[in-house]
Amino acid sequence: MATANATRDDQKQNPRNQRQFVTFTVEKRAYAVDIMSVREIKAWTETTRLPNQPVHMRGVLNLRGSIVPVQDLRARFGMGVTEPDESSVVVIVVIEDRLLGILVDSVSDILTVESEEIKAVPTGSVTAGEDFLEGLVNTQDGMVAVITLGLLFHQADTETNF
Amino acid sequence: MNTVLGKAFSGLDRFGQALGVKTYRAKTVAAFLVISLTISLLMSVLSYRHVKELTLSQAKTDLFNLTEYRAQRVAEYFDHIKTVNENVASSDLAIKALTQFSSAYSELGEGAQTYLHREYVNGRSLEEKIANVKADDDSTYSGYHRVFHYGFVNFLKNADLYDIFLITPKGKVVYTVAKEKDLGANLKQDLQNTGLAQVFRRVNENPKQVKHAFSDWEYYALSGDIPAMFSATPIFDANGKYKGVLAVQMKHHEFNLIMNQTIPRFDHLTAYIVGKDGKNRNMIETGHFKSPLLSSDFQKSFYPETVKKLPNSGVSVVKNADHQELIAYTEINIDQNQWKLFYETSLDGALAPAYDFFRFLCWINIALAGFACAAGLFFARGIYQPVQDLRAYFKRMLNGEKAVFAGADRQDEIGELARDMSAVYEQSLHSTRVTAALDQAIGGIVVADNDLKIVYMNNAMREILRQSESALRKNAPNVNFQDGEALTLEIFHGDKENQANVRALLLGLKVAYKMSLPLAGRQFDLVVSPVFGKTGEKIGYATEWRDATMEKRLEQEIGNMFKAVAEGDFTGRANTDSQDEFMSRMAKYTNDALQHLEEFYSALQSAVTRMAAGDLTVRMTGNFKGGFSALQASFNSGLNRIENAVQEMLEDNKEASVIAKDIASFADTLSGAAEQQAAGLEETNATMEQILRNVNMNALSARDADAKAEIAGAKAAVGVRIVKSAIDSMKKIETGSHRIKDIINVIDSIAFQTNLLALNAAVEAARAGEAGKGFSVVATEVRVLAQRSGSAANEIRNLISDANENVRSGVKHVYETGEALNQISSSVIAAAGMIRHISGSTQEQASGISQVSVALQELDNVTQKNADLSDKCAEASQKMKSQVDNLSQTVAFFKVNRDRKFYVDNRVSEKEISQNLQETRNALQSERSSMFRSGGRKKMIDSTSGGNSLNEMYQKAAGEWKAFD
Repeated sequence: MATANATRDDQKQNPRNQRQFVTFTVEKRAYAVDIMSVREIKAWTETTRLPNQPVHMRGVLNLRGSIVPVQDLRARFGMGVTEPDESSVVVIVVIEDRLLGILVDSVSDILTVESEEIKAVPTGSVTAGEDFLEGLVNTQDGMVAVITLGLLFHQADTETNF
Repeated sequence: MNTVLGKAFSGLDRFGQALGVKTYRAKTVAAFLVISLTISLLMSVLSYRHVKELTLSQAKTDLFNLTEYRAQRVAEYFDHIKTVNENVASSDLAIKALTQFSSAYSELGEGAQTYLHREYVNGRSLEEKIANVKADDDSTYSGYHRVFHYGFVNFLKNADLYDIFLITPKGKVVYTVAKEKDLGANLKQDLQNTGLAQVFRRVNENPKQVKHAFSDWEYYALSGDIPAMFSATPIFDANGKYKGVLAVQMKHHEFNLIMNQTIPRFDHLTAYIVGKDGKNRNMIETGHFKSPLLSSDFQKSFYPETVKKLPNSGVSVVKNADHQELIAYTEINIDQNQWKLFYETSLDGALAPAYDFFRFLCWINIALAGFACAAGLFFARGIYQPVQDLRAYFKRMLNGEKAVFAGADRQDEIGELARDMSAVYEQSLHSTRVTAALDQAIGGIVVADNDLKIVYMNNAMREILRQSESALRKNAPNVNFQDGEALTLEIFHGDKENQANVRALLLGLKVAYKMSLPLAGRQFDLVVSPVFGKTGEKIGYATEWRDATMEKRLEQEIGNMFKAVAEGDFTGRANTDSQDEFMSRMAKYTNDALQHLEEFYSALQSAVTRMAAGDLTVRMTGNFKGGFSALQASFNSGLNRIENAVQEMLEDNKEASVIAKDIASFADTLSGAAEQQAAGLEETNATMEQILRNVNMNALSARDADAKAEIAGAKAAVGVRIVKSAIDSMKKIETGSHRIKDIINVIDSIAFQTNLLALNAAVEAARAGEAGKGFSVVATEVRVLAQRSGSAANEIRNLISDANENVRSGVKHVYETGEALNQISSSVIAAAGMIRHISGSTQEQASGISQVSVALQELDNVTQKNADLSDKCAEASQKMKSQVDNLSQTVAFFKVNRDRKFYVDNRVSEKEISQNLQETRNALQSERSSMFRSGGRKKMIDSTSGGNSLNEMYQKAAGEWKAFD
């Protein structure tokens, strides 16, 4: 909740170079995506499973008439398949005009930060599998990894399934 | 048994002498050998003869059976030929062939024989002729020959014949199988002496009667001079008309085969058939003899005249040249031939099994001889060895060595002999011992024979003889006294006349006779005993001499001496100058005894004299032994005691007066102690009453506690009920909190949804850009509210959980409380029971204490009496003191050595002292215990110390009493 207070303070100053992120947790680690790429946040409902899909694909759901594929972010990060519970949430994001659902453990907050507060990832620590990180934000509750959705979900991820 | 054995042994001896052997061993072996071999040889000869007879008889039977069998075989053979002949003759083939060949033969006319010889006989071998079916022409004969020849060849081969002939009644041989020169011959003119012509004639002359004929074996020139025999039978056609003769020629080889079969039972078996002419019919080729056929040559060596005279059949042993032959024979009659069949073998060969048996017997006998020798040696050793041993022992015994007869434990005669020998040995030992003993005897021993002639004198007797030789010589000047054995018994007895009397006396003796004999100034006691043998007859005399000279003299002297002693005179002494050692010693011992007696008497006398004067210090001195010493010790010890007693008395008198004072003061102390005791008793009484009050109070308190315990038990039961209802309430609270939890979950869910809505609103506001700024703020507020309501719900849930936890622990505590209350209730009930028990016990205690008080009262009375007694005690001690003083004056009379102590005597009396002391103690003890029994009259407080001082006192008193014992 400390994060929320910080956000409120930030909004009062309202500087021009502020950025807003939606933060969520996977496997107790906090991640953030740009609020502009988020279309909607839904509580977890059972998805329709499709045959012959990779393990991180959780099927599709019907979002007011449009079919949206849902990916399990935990599986995508190679941490096992998520067992959804009451707090599990699907974040519907837009990547290059395509909708994609991301299953996360919980959604946390709206994070408003100055652009310069986003610290680059130390070069030594970036491995081939983590080049989708835009940077790290230090908050009172700890580090939040900012994900560049375009790098994480390539065109292929959103298209090959349809 | 013994006599039988004795006879056997004496027989053995004679036998040994006859054989020239001496030792028992050799004799036994020889006897075994001869006996066993005799029996064995006898048995062997008998059995051999029997076996030989049996073998011969068996051989004869076998040989005769063989002969009969072979004769039968021969007869069968000829029967067979006869049957074949008749069969062929009665066959169609023979009838037709004879008819056809007869006509064809007639066609050939005069030159028929020539033609046949030319076409069928000449220039061919026998096999070719038989194989030739027809001549190389087309004559009628050849035509028929081709038809019939093969059939006859078949007959020939099947019956193993040499030839088959077809002969017309006119004697023309119209057909033969073998095509020899007899083909085409006219048997009425040619070949008149042949067997063929003979059998033809016999059949042809009377075909109806002579159905068959055999010739005898003879050399047949037309067949190349081989032995031949013919059989002929008439041929009749279907109408029974005589058509001619069918003849067959037999092969001698077949006949020989039958005869010359070898027989395994007999070696060198020769079989032969002899005709009336004495010529052999079969070929004799076996064994040692070989003879041409149909010759009488063999008669010379083999068929002696005796054989011709033998009956028709049987078995005989005949002598032929240098050896004997066993022959069996039987008759064989074939048609008109009268033959005799012989089987001949050497007699030795036939008896071979008997000879084998003989050899076997020889081996048996050799083995038996060996066994007999061994058995003889063994048996001989059984007797010979012990006899040798006994001999060795006997030799040792004769040499005077120690001998032990082995074999005495045997049960047989050897054992008996050994035992007897042991007895003899023991007897000889005994004699030796007796002789040695006699030699060393002190008295003279003389042994004489029945005629009083001395046969033995011991050493002592020789000495007597030597000493009295000169005296004796007066009566017997001519006797040589060195040679004691030549003397007679009566020689010692005076002159001739007296000797004669003594001799008469001795000769008539039946029992021992004693006599006294003075000889050469000495006195001898003689005992003459007649000696009787085991059967009761007198066998001699044994005389014992004893020198009694010194005895008599000693008796005299000592008698005088002891007479003086009896009169109180100890000064007499015996004469010790005697020559005789015994006498001298006797006298010396007697003198010594008298010396000691005298010394002792004087010492005793002086000691007693001084004692009478009151001198207790005197003692009996001197070195005495035995009874004297005992008497001396007793005397001295008695004096010691008296002196010691008097001395002690003097010393103890003083102590006694001191003690008497002590006793008086003890008595005073005793009465004081009795008073203290009384005071103590009163105090005790008061204390007991206090205890009684306390006990009664205890009883009251116990009853009170009992009532209170019951109330506590009831209250505990109420507590248990309350706890149960508390638990029920708690359960209701738990149920309520569950429902609250459900409601909280709903609230939580609503907060979550609200948060999502707010987030989405924030997203929408961000997307709206500047226009959505205000809305963004609202969304944030809503999200905050949702988050707060979510966290509030969470807090409530936690609180409810805590409350639930508290309720659960409250229920648990309430349960425990209930349990504790239950336990309290049961404990209270148990406590109440115990309190009741205590109250009962307290009652008993109170009554017990009352009884103690009564007893204390009695004790007080007794203490009073005790005090009185101690006063009396003081009085008595005063009296005792005055008596002690009196005693001192009396004892002062005796003179004693005050420095002397007689530990020995004191020690001796210590036992008695301690015994008396013990008795005294016991008496006191019993007195004291009787006091207790009668109600505790003794003062308890001073019992220990007072008792001790009394004990000391008693001990001292006992010591004083001892001095007066």
